Amino acid sequence: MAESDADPALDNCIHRCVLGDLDAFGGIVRACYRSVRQMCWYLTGSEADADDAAQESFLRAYRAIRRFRGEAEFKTWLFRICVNTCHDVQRRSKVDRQSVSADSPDTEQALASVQSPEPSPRDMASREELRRHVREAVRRLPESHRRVVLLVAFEGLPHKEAAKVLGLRTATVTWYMQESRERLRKMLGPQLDELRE
Amino acid sequence: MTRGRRVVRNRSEKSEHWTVNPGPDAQTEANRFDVALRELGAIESNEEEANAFWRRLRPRIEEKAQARGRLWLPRLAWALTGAATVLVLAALPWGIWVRSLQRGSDRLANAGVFLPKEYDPSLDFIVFRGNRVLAYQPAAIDRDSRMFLETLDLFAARLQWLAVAGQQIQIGLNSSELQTKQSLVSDQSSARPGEMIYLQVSVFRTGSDPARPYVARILALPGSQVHLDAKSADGAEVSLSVWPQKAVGRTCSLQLDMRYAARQPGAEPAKLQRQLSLKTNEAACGGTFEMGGTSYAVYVSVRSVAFEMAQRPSRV
Repeated sequence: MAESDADPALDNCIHRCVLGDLDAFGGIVRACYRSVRQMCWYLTGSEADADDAAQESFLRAYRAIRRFRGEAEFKTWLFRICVNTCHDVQRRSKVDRQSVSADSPDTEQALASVQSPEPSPRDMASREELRRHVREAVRRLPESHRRVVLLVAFEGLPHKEAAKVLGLRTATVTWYMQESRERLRKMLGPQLDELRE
Repeated sequence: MTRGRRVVRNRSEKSEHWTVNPGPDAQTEANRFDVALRELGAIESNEEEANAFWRRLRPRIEEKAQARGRLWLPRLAWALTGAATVLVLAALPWGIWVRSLQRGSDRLANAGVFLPKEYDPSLDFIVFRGNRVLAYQPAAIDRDSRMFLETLDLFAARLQWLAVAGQQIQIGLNSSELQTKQSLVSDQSSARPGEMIYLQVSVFRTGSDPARPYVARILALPGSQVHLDAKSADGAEVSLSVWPQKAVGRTCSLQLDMRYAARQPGAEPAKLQRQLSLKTNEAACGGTFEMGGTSYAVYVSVRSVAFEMAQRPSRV
């Protein structure tokens, strides 16, 4: 099993879990919980669905972990399960995720709702307010773009790995990422730049 | 952001996508943007939350594992049931076929006929499947038809029938000059191979030493009377007369008037006379008789009432 060099503890947990140690799976859950939960939250659009999707993702992962041969990074493998699970949960719960299609006539309206009244960070009540704006902007991205942003920007996966998770070409991932940056920049405007500085 | 951006065609991946290949400055800018996005968009969660999640998840995993364990037996049962069903479905036609073969043999046995040891159901002419003859001797049929055609060439339109009995070949002609066996009744002006009747008469010896001492294969024109004198394998003088006529109607294909007489030194002669209605590919028992303390049964099988001489030799 070609395990990740990044986290020997996680590798150890994976190895023990493959041998049937349920407690070791607890270690995996604790190590990956933040990433999975975050991805589920962004992809499902609600707290309840995110929790369901995270549980379902880990359940599926536990069921399939004996088939994990280490050909890819464990997190890449887990994210793939997570993305598919979120898709299923969304379809089941039929949540209107209010994701804005690029060609949707609501795009401009959505952009306007986030952009105006263009408050600067100093004008915002708190940093938390800015975070809320960023999350909202990310969630308003089309689902395909959102998945790419989550994997590349949030989880720091290389484009090639993200492409494997999503079953896309690397070039497509690069293109989606570029588009997403531009859209987010449009939606968040100068707020992000000022905060970055 | 757009400064320094180059748009190139990504040929290496054979992709139709236009890939954005940012310059170094733009790449740095993008990285900084991503970092800011990650910092601001991250959903906070602490260790306690992860532990609580694991406490909620663990019972579900255990429950699912138990449920999967419980499902194992019913699934196995279903799989076995399915396999058994497939086996039964596959075995059913085979069983029916075997049973029909058995029934054919039983019919002979019930008629007091015991099959000889050398009886080969895959080759022999008189093999039953239900009421149908299952197999013939293709080589014998081919030989008979070729023989008939060659004889036909020799005797032109006078040939009425041809029979192979024991080691003898006998023919019937309707001309007094050349006939070896006189044809008593014939309204046929010429032999037409397509209308030949092809039948076989078999005599089975029953009892402790079953055998088939006499077989006669006959090709005859409808309405012609066939008369054969031959010796059977057990030394009896056999005289067989058959008068096959095509039947009109659907109940049967052939009406056959059969007379069989056998004479053995030191034994009372046996005689059989029977009118039989036969269907194509059917065999019928022409009767049983006793001679010298041994029982015999006579069977008549009809191969065809319009035998096709498809294997006509090239000399024609």
